[in-house]
Amino acid sequence: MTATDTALIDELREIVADVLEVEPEEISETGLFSEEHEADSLQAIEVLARIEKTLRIAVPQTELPDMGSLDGVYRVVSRYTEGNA
Amino acid sequence: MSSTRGGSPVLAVTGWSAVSPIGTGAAGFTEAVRTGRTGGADVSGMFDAPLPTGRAHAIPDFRAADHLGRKGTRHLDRSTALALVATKLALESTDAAVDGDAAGRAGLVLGTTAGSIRTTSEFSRDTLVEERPYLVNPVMFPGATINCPAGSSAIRHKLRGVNATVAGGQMAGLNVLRYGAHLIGGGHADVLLAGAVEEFSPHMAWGHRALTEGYDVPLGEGSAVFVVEDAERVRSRGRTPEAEVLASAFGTGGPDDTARTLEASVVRALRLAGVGADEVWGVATGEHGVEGLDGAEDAGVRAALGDGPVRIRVKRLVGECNSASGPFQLAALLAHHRTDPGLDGRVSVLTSVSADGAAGAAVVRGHRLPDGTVPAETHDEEGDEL
Amino acid sequence: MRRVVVTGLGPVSNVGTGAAAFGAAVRAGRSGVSPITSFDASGFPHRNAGEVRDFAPQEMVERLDTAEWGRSSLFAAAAARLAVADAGLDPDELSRAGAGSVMGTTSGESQIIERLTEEEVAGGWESLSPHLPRQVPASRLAYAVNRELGLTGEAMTLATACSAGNYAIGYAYDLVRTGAADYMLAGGADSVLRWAHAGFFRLGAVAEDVSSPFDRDRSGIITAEGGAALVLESLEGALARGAQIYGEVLGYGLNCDADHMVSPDPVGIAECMRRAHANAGIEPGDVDYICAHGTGTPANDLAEATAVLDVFGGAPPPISSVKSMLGHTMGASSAFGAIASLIGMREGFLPPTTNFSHHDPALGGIDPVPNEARPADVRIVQNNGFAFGGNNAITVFGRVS
Repeated sequence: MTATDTALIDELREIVADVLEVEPEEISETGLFSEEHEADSLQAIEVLARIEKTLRIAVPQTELPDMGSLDGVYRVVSRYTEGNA
Repeated sequence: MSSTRGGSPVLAVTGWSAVSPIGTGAAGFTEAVRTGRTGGADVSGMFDAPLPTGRAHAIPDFRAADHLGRKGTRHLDRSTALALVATKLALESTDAAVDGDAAGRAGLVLGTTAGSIRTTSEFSRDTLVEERPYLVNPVMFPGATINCPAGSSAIRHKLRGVNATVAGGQMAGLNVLRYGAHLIGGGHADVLLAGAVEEFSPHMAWGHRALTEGYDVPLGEGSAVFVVEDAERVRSRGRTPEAEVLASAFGTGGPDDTARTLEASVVRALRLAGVGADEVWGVATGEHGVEGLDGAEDAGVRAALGDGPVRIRVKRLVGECNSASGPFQLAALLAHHRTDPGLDGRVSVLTSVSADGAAGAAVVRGHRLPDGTVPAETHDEEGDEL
Repeated sequence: MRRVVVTGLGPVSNVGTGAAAFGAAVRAGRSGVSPITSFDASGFPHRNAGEVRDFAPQEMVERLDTAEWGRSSLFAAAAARLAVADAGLDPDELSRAGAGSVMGTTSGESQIIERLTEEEVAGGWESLSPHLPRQVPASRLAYAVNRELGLTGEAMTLATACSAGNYAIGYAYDLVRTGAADYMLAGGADSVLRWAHAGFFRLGAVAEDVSSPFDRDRSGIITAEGGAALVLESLEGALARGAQIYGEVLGYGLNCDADHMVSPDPVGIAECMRRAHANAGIEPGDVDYICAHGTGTPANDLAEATAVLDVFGGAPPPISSVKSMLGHTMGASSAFGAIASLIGMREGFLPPTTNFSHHDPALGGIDPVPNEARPADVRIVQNNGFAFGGNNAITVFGRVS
C-alpha cells in the first residue's frame, strides 16, 4: 500500500467517522457500518455526498451497496479517482 | 369565528417544560418569571454570518448534547435540538402514561413559523454555490423540512401516536391547544405534547429586523411544551392536573378588525368555559412590540375584560419568540400559579393576534400543585406582576 | 355529532384546473410532467417536474393582492375559490357563517426563502428585500384562503409534510362534525423548489423522466406543485340547500412510525390503516379502492404494498397512484388524492397508475389499475398519505346514497 493510499484511507475514515458520529479509530477496515455503528441509508448517502464534495469526484448512487465498509468505500473511490490523482 | 365545544374536551396540563432565554425546565422558567429575569446575551460569536445586532434574547450556551448525550446530536438543526430537549424535559415532568402500549396513543402537536428557516436557506444556498446544484448535504435534508422537530422528537421518545406540526406563527400556541383538544376528543390520542419551537439564527435576525423596522424588539428563541390530556379522564384516575385549558376561540378578520376579532374571541371563549369576565385574574397577552398590533390587542382585551386583570407580558422577558410566544405565555401563567398559592383554582386568559388578521384566546384554570411538588426555590409567597 | 360531506372540489393542478378538467385528465391518464422552467435546472441530471405552467393567480383570486402573497398561498386561495364555486355556495353567506380553512403543506412559502437566499448570496444580508420576510410564514396558506373568501373562522396550516392534505381534511372534518364550524375549506398547497428537487435527487429519489409507481423498475418521484381544496359541510346542511354531494368523510387515522425521518415503515403504515378503518367504522373488506400514497420510490411503494397486504390479506382492493400523472405535489398530494377519489366515486371509475410496464413480484398481488382508468362501483375509498417524519395520515370517504 502506498503513502497515497494510506492518506486516502485516513481521509475516508475521517469522513465516515464524522457522519456516523464516532471517533475515527472506531471505524474498522472491514466491519459493516450498518452492523457496527447502526448506520442507516441516509447516512450512507451522506458518506457518498461528503466524498464527492471533498475529493471533487462523482460517484453514482448505484455504488452505494458496495460502500458499506471502509474497505468497500476505498475500493469504490479508488475506481473513480483513477487518473485524477 | 370558530371555538372549542362539542366533542372537544377540557384539556388537563399534567406536565410542562421550557427551554428559554431566561431558564430551562419548568422550575428554571418559573424562577425567572418570579424574579423578572430578562433575557439578553452576546450573540456575536454564535454564527459565521453577520448579525444585525450584537445582543439578542438567544440561548448561546444551549447544547443539545448536554441534555441528550453526544450520539445523534452533532448534525441536528437548532429547532430540532431545542424541540428534542423541551419534549424530553416535558416527558420527565409528567405522570402521564407514554410507554409500552400507551406510546401508540401518545403524540406531539408542535407549532412553528416555517421550521428551521436557516436550514432551509443553507440547503438552498448549496444549490447555488456548489459546483453542481445537487451537491447538497443530504443529512440536512430532513431538517430543511418543516416537520423535522416533531418527527425527530417522536423517534427519540418513541411516541407512535399522532405527530403533527402546526405552522401557526404567532397563533401557534392557540393552534396547538385547539387542535390537540380535537384530536383527544376525537379519540385520536390520549396524551399529547403540545407546544412550539423557534430558533435564533442570522436568517431570523435579519428577517426580524425587516419586520420590526422602527421598533426595538429583541429577537428570542426557545421552546415550551405542555403534556395535555382529557381533564375528565385525568381526574377520574385520581390524578391532579396542574392546569386546565377550559376553552378557546379563534377568529380571522381584516388586519384593521383585529381588536374586534380578539374581543369576540375572548368573549366566546369565556362563555364556552362558563366563566365570567370578572373572575379573570390575569391576561397573558402576546405583545408584538409593534404599535398597531399591540394597540389592537390591548383594545380587544380591555373591551372584553375591562381593566381589572393583571397583565402578564412574558415577551418582555423572553423576547420575540414567534410561534413559541403563545406557549411561553401559558408557561408564564403556570409560573404565577406555582409561585402564588392565592391563585389556586382561579382563571386567566391567554391572547394572541397576528399581523395577518387572526386573533384568539384560551381560558386557563390553574391549580396549586400538591405539597412537595413545587421546587423549593420557586415556593415564594409573593406574587409577581410583570 | 354531525355527518360530514364534501360538496365542492377545487383542484389547481398541472393536469387541469377545476373539478371537470381535473377529473377528465385523471380519467384519461394525462401527464402533468414537463421540463423545469421555474428555476435553472441545467445543472441537474434529472430535469423534469410537475409545474403548473398556466397558473394565473391574478385571474383566479378576487380579493388578494397577488404581489403580497407567495405562490403556495396563491395556490391555496385559488383552489379554495374554485371549491366554493363548485359547491354552489354564496360567498356572502359563507362569510357570515362560521367558516374557516385548514391547509396542509410540506414547505409552505419556501420559494420566498429561496428568493431571500439568492439575494443574500448575490448582495449580502443587508440587501434582502424588506417586503419578503412577512411572506415567509407557512401560516399564510390558510390566512390566504380566509382573506380571499372573507371567512371569519379558524385558519390553520398543518405542515406535516407529504401527508399534510389528509391531516387538514381530518381536522376540518372534526370541526364540522363537532359543530365548531359550519363549513370548512380543507386541502393543501406546495410549490416546486430548487432545494427540494436537489434534496430528493441527492437521496436518489428523483426519476429521470416520469414517475412509475408500483412498477418493477420504478426509480423515484417527480417533484410537483399545485393547490387542492375541498368544501366540507354537514350532511344535514348540504341536503337542506340541495347541494351536490361528492361523498361523505367517514373518518381518518393518524400515527407516527417513530422509526426514521425519511424511510417509511410498513408496520407504522399498517397501523395507520387500522386506525383509519376503526375511526371510520369500517372493515378492510368494505374498502373498494385505495388511492395510494404511491410516490414511485422503491422504498415507499414496497412499504405501502407490504402494509396493504398485511391489513387486507392476499387479495386487496385495487390501489392506484395519481402521482403517476401529477408527480408528487407534496403537501397537496393527499388532497389531490381525495379529489381524484371523490370524482371517481361519483362518476364510477378508478383513476389509473400510468407509466406502468412491469409487475413487481415484491409487491405481491396488488392491482395498481395499470395505465387506463377502470369503470367501477366505488362505495368506500381509503386515501393514503405518508410523509417524512413517519407522519402517516389516512382519510376514508364513503358514497352517500
